[in-house]
Amino acid sequence: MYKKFFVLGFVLLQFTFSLITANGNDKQVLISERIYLNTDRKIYVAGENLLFNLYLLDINSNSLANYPSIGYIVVRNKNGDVFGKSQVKIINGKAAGAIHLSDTLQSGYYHVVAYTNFMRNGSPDIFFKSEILIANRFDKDFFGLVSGQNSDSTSSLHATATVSPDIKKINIITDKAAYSKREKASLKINITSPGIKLLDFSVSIVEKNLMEETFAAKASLPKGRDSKGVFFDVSERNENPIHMAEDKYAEIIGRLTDKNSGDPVGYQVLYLSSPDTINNFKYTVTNSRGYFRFPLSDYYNGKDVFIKVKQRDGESLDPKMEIDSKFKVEGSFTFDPLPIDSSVISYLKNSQNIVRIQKSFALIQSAFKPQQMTSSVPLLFRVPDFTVAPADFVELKDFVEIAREILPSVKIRKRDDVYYAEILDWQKRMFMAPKPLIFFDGVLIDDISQIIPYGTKDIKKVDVISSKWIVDHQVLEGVLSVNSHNNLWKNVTLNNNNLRIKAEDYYELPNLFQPNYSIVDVKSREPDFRQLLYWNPNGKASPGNAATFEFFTSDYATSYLIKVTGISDKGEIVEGYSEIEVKDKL
Amino acid sequence: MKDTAKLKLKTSYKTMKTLNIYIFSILVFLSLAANAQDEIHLRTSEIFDAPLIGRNYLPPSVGKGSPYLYDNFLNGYVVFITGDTVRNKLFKYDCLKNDFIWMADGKSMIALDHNLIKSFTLFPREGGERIFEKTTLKLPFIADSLFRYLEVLAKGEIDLYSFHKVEVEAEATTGLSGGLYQLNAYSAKNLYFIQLEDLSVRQVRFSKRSIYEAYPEYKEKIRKIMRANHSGGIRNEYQLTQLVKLINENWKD
Repeated sequence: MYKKFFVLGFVLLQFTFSLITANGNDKQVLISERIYLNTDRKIYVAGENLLFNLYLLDINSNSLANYPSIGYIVVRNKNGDVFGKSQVKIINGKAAGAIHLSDTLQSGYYHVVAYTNFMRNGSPDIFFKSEILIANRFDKDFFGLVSGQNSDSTSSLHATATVSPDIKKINIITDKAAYSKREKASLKINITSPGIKLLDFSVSIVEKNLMEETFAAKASLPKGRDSKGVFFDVSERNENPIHMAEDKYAEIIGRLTDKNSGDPVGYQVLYLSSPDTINNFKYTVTNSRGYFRFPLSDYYNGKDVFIKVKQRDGESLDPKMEIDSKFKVEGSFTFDPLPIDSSVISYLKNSQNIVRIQKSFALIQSAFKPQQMTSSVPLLFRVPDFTVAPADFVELKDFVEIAREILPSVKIRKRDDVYYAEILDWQKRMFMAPKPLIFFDGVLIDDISQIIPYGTKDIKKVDVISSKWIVDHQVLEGVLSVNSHNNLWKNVTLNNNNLRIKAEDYYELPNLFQPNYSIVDVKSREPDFRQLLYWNPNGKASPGNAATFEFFTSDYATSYLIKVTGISDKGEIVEGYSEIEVKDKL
Repeated sequence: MKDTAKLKLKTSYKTMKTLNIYIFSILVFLSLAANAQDEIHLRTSEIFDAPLIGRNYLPPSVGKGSPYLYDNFLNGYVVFITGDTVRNKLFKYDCLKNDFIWMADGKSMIALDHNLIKSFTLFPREGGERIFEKTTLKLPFIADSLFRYLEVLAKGEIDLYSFHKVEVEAEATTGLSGGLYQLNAYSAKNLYFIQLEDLSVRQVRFSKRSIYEAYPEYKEKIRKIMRANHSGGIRNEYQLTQLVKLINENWKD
């Protein structure tokens, strides 16, 4: 009897405990994403392009992520200041890109940091980081980089430059060990490590130097499950918004507060629009803590985006909107700078001269072309109830005349020097409240007064939705969309209910100067002192299917390091190295 | 007396034991259920839905019959021209006005903007699904050139569609107070159409002949498939659908 009561009591206790813990107070989610990034080189001269490829790993499955995502890469100095950034689309766990290193960068060590939006929920410790050295093209000495090590340290560096046991090697075969200038070379990459079924990798052929060799030995695997910062709190206790995994859309997160009191403004409606010849519209509502988020499809890439606070009737909110920056990395990183010896200094000085020559022959592309991506427009409507082209009628001097003469469902009134627009609801046969949504060249403006001065000469088209227009649970008192001939939205000054931001864009890889000397042309007369002979971020190999690449050597006779770095199907880093020589005369 | 009391005690112990087992099981089950985490959405594809856009829906006046495919709102999903899909909402289809209606907030009815819709699917209570596509196919014997939603019954070499036509007639009727007033009478009539490849649409009826004579150039092929597969007569929509599916499956043979 007592045993029965004991068992019953135990179960009751367990049940009660479960209820207490299961009401949202204790929910932890594992951040299973890790990034591994590889750069073409470790030493750059300011003004060059940093080329990279990255892999997004799912540590649960130990393989490349099988969902799309967006990678964020920043180049920052010791103080955490960002001097270069890029965002890339990650498809099948892979992406490649480039960052232009501004000519004005100071000589020093920099960090390349890579992460996804979802990883930002954890500590920056789980972000990928690697160090690079950048030399300013105009520095004459590099005393600031020398960290007091003497040249004896070079031998110890070579001794420690052994490959980590985690890193497996692959077989790299070139058709020759030494080449003459501008000679065609080929290399083949075979998988020799057992158990690898597929290898995705990048190939970089770069002038050999101590830093390349030493960094290679220090490559590390992404942090595992038991590293700190890999879980984050999704319970109600966590007041910060969760950063979503951006598989389908990128997201903008922001916070709305009252500028005067600093208090968060909850349950406020916000609209988002962007300049375009087509109407586009999104809305959201802030949560109780004032946070809001908008999805951004590729439609918005590189565009100006306007976020507007919809003031409630009788409200006089003085809003302040702060947008979360994805390229802001909190905290500083500890640097582990490698000692620089005379060979590295000599390499830097030589590189400065080479980059100077390349710049004068415009061989380095500094402005990248935006990627063209197709995406559907987030339409508010596709076919308006009425559409009018003022040019089809006699010339009308301003929008009041346009509305009066050729827009039957729109009425413009003036009260106390302020204009109001009302749209007829054809369903109810009466004019709606004087606060329709008004777009000017795709941008939501504050009121009709801002476009009154524009007449037939300025306005190309007017579209009207002549009824209450419902978007989910938002009821709009009609829609008026006006398009101008010459992007006149730029002349409109929006009030402080609006915030203008620029959506980031995706860029194509810059044209790499990788000449083909089998064709004799004008280019073949230009000097070619490339230190980076070859870069390919999209290598693929499997057992029995070697990958082959061809390239031409440059006029720069020196030793070159062939670096092959990638990820196997099991999520392991795979690396291989080889060397070739380019000689003046064979 | 003592035996009776003993017996009663034994019985009550047994009952108590059974009761304890039941209570134990229920509590374990409830504790597991309570311990289960709420589903957490951590991807932008899971938290951002395309908006449902349209106007207030004005229902036709009440009358005999119904203008709707189903009088009740049903679970379903809608696919927009952008490719976005919105699921797990309540919808209804007004065959008379050709409006696809969403029940918002449990009381407001919104006629979704058909210019943004590509197709929709309803899940009837009896099971299965009914798929409608927005199309501007030129239907024979139908004079207008408006878009319409056609129910997709079969897809393949031959597509089979059903057009849910509702006709309304005003009937005079006498009210309780003896006054005469007008009442609408809605009568539903399904029309069936097939389209072979990119050829023009043809109307069909519940007969095999109407199918194989729809496209004279394919008449023999269709007849051959019907004969080879011993297809029976057609008396209803289900049999018509099955026949077209059979033709599609055997088309390449």
